Amino acid sequence: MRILVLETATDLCAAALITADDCVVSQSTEPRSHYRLLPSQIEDVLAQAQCTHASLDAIACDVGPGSFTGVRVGLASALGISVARQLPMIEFNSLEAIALSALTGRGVERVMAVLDARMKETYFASYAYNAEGLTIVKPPQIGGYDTTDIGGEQCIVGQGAAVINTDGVPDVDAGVLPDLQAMAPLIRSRYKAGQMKPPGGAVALYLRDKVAQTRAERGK
Amino acid sequence: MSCQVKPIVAIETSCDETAVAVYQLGEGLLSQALFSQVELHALYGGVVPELAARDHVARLPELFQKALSDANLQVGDIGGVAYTAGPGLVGAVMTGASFGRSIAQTLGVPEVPVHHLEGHILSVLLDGAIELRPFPWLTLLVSGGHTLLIRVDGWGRYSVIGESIDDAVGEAFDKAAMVLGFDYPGGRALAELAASGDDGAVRFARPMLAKGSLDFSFSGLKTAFATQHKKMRHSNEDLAASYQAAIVDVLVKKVLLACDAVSPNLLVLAGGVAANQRLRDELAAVRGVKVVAPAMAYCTDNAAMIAVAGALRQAGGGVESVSGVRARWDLSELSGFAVESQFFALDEA
Repeated sequence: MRILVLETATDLCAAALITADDCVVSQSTEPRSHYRLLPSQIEDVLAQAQCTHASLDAIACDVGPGSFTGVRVGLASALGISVARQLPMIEFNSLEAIALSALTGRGVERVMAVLDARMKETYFASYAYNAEGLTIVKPPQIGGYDTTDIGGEQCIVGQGAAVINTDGVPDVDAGVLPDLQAMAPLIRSRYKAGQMKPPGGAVALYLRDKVAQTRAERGK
Repeated sequence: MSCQVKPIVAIETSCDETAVAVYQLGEGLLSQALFSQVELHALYGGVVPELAARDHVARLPELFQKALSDANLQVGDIGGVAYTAGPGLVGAVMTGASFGRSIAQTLGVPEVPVHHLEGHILSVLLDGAIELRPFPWLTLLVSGGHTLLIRVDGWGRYSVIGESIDDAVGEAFDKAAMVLGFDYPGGRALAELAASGDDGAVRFARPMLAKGSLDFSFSGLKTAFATQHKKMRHSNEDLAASYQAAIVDVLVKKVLLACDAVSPNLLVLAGGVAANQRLRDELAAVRGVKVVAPAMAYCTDNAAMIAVAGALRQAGGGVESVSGVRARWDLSELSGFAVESQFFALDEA
């Protein structure tokens, strides 16, 4: 099993190479550099794992939500590699990536991930974690800064935690980014279970679908 | 004699057309797959950059597989991947660039970033039977985003000698068409309407002709059109015909002025507005210089022209070193390259 993973939806730009028993990662948090950094990160992890492009079995990609441009840099790159090599695609979303990364070493059984979507809105989702893995409590959705549903949450993570009211929540950490090491078990399990899209089949998850007003809406 | 050049795949996503083409020097265009987002943006009255980028990324995989399959090629047959690296809507350019670059990377073949406007200038080469002339050439590049007079002193050697100081000519057509009630982009519909109108009905001004400058201005003309339309003294057909006549008149007179300055051996018409029949007819009548224009299908944005430019740069040692994508990119920054005469010969008249 050799799975190339691309993560560009958040401030983190990273590539990873996951095998049955290992995961090597190359990453950076340099702002607005995803397009420039990603190719060398891919080469870096392939070299570290002594793999070639031809030996890959699948490609995994963070499909969002997050920075629209960031999401597309990683997704378009993953799609290109996928169609050229006819590799199946494993999708994961940025909120489950952040949630799973926060669970590592925290010992909590439930976590909510929040990203600042700008325009006074957030992307958020809540997950429970047990022996079977991650289950969805609140599916990925968009909320207002004032209306993001934090009911029942004891742990809220992701940079969006800094822009919403988290009063009364004991564990709040706005500094959590996706950690591809922590994601490796989930990606392996999706690969083994065949939870994959055909080559070129991964689809972006923007959540914010209304991005412009039509002529009719503008009254023109 | 060089050995056979392998086919190149090209990706174009600089605005609202998603396109993939396969081209081989010496053979010509092997296939192309294109999806136009015109209907998507018509609802908004113009191109919405974010929606354009979203649609590009959703359609690229299928278009790539179709282009390759239509060319009867396997990925192993590809010798390079060209992609538009700018200028254009930066988010849109970045989707095609990310996609194309990753294909080149995973296949271990060269990536060839291409200047979108160089693609337009060289789109006439898609006509395999074209008779070229020695440099210098003069290019009139007219589209929804550009109005440029470009002096071409060699392969890859460009200088812009005239440009619009406000609206692009295609924009002037599209905005006037909107006044008449056509959906965006209505420039072509306006031209069709003009065919049955009297082009002398309204005497629109010919902007910036008096100065002797090679620059253009269409903003005032567009406003004059809207004013005339409000007055309701003329039929839409007459308005459209008179407006088109004014625009084409300005373009042709500027071309003549530029011909005096450059003494070109070839006049190349390119860009989406190059599909305008009146413009083609009037330029064809210009004496003393051979005029060439791409086939109608290659006037608007397409990947075939990016493939030609990319293939020539790859074969001629002129692959640009571009670290990112470019929203703006001066044509004069490009480096020259060599083209073997077996591919395109420059014949004396």
